[in-house]
Amino acid sequence: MLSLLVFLPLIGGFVLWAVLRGRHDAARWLTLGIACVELGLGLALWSQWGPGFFIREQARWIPTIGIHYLLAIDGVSLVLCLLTAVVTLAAILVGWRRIRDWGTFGPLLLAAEGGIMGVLTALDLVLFYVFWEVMIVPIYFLIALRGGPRAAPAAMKFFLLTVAGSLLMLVSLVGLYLVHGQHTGYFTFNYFQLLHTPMTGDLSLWLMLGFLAAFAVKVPMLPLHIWAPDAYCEAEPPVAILLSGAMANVGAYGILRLCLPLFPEGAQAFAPLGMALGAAGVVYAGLLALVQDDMKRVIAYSSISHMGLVVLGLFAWQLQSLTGAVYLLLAHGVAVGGLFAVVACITDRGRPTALDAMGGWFRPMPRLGVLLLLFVLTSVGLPGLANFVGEFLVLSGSVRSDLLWAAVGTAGIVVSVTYFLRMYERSMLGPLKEDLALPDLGARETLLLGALVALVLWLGLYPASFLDPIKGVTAGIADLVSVAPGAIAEHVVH
Amino acid sequence: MWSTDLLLLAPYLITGLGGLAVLLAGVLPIAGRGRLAYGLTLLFLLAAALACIPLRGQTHIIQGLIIIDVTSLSFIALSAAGALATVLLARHYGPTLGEVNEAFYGLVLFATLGMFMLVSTEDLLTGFLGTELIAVPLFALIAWQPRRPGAIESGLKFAVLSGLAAAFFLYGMALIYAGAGTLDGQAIAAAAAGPHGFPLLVKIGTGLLLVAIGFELAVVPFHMWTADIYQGAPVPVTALLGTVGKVAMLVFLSRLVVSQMSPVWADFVPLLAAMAAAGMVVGNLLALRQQNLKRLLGYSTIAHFGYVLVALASGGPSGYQAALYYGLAYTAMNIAVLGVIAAVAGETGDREELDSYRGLGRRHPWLGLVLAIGVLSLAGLPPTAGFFAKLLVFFAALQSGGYGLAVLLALTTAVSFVFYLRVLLVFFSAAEQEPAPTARLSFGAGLVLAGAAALTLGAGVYAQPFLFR
Repeated sequence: MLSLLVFLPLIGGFVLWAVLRGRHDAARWLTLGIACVELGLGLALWSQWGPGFFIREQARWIPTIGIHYLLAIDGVSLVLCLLTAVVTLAAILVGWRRIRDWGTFGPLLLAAEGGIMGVLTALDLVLFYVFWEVMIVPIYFLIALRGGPRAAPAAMKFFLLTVAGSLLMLVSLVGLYLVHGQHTGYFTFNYFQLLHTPMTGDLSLWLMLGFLAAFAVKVPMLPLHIWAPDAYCEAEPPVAILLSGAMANVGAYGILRLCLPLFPEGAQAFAPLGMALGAAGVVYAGLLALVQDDMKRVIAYSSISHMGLVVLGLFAWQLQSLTGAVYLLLAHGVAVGGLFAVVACITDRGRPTALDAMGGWFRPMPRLGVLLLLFVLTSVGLPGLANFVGEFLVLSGSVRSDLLWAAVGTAGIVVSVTYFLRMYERSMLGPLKEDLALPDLGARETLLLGALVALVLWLGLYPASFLDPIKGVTAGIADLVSVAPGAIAEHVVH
Repeated sequence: MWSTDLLLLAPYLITGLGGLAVLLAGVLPIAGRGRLAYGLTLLFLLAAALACIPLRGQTHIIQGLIIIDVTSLSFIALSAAGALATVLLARHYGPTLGEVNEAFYGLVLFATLGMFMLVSTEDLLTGFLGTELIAVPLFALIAWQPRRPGAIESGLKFAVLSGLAAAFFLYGMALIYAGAGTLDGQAIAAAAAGPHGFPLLVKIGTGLLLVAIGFELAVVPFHMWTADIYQGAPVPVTALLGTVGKVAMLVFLSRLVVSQMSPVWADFVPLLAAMAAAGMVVGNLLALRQQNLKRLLGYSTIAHFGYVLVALASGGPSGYQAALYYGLAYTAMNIAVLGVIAAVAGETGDREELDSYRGLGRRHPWLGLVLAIGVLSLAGLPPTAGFFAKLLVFFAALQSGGYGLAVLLALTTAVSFVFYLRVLLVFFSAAEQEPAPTARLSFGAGLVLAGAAALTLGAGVYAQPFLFR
């Protein structure tokens, strides 16, 4: 079942490319079909949810060097897989009209989805790395081949930073393997066996930093975020949705799944800095969003700002903050998908997204205006909508770890209110700048945005259905922190 | 020499005698002798490769000169496959169309025999014979169809430089013999340390040997010729000299470094590490802004041998394993890429500038797929063989404490993505000039491309059987 979840889009995408190349319409429908089946698989997995890793699949792959084919899924991977399936579906619907050759776009999109699913379920570290790289190649081509004029450099920047980070992860990964092998005499890349590798604090920190380099680029975390605004803006909106709504999550997932449990001491030593970077990211990206003159860029920076909050929550390392961080990923994925979908609706009408060229668009497009308002309110964390739950949990957890950075993070949320309302005011309200015939949303667009709003409301009003699977996992990770300080103290004494 | 040895030597006999037979077939007074020579060449190479299958599992040393073991059998088969690819690609290769005759085939077979010798020996003299048996036919093959621009120049350049390398090789051998009294790689270290040994001479000799091998492998600082030869030689010949030809030398070097000679090499480990670092940096930087695809591949080769030297500098069984797997992956992925270049070459010459490939991947999606697999593997992306090769090098480096080299490998690999991705981007972006470039793929070339792509992917996805111990 898990293998199917991972390989259905990968193989389906390849078959699609091989068979339906050049047959635009058929390829488009088949892409949609595969994405729907994928979501169905995700829902089927949800119905089987149980405590811990409730499904595992294991096979021998390269036994002589301890590499296995090992897939497993627990609550956190489950909700993120569901989100990925939803976001991919949204991306397909957003691109329904504007993408001209689905014969190549569809396969690339599906391959990226399969790669993300693989990353979320692979628990052999080499397999994890394989999917990690499989995921970024189609994304590179999606950005480079079909975006704006500056798309190729943006894609290159994205790819280089990602690959540099992931190669450092590879070094750390092999390092961890060797350390574990030298201590136990048993060389393996199996996550479960690597969990309790004894190592000194320094080594733990360095190996953790190697992993973090890969994840921080993806998140994107403060100093390594430089690729994100360009990539989000230069890519076509469907690709931007996939990048910000699904691909960014795997970075946070990696920190949660690998950095914290595999290297509790190193991560603990890094946690204060991690919190600081997260909180600083919230404020910094928020301030940048405040001065952007393009709707796409405002959304891009708001996405980076929200991911900063996720990082803050992860490194605060509290049950609430960890749970909130994962929950925020869900909320942010859906909300940012909705925002970029609105951008796509605007560009589909042949209008630029520069804020100066907009104004008063609520009147010709009331439906778009209302739905955009809902997504904006979600993103600023209005109670009753999705982000509120996550942000509240992150901040209430972070306060216990470090009051200062929690306060800075909160200030960032205030900034987010400012820039989002500024964006909304300049685009939707005020007088119409010119007499335009702007048709309101069509059936496909209303359906898509309406579905995303429904998800936002579900996430906001009945969080328990997602919090339960998450909490079971984050509780285990939060417990690690109570063990680690003693170990660190021991290290300091020696 | 026993009669069973003859059986073990079957691949060598088939190729050597086959070379003579092909030369004879080419001058037979019958119509269709060209096709006959072509067919016979394919047959002999296939037979040599297949002869390795029943010999599997045997370990035997013939007269202390030829070692038959898993490694040599595997690389004999690989060399034969590489030569087969060369012959298949050359048959319909535009720039030398109608010029490829029995002499070409014969020379390819003799060069292949040289590779067989090189991959299966630790004896320096046999190694020297193998090296020269590869190099001498290549003088002619590189300059094939001498009216092509740059043909004579690159042939001459290769001849002069490999002559120089041969001189270093011979002098090194002479000094080692003077210092140790033997040329058998397994006995040199013991003899040099013995009562009549002269360790200093052995060390100097080994250093000279390293220079010679460095020339053949295009290791920095002996790399200058690579890009020129890659540009000037016919692409099928590049596929022979640039892949299996080099890999044979790599296997020879790997055997020397990890064999009984390892005490002698111990002093050279820092030097190997420095050459590795230089190769990774120089190769990738030179390739970075290169617009000529053939030259770009030449520079990328320099970088790849930098990666391989990281494994050899780490030494030990894991370094040996990594180097050999790297050789296999390197051959498969380079043949895939060079095969695509050969397949789309025009009658007048290769497409050289990267821009002339614009849009080819859209027009010929399957060619594009093979190129994408090959280039992504060169870049080291999973699940290709190129990735597992780098992973094994990481193992070897970190195991022996080469943290600096491992990090340098990671960073230079990241840099290399710039030019590898540029190649792919050009291939798959929309063609600007009309009409878009086209290609006609012959059956043989299609076979080569399919095989190389399958091996590149297969050895990556299922690496287990390709890990030599």
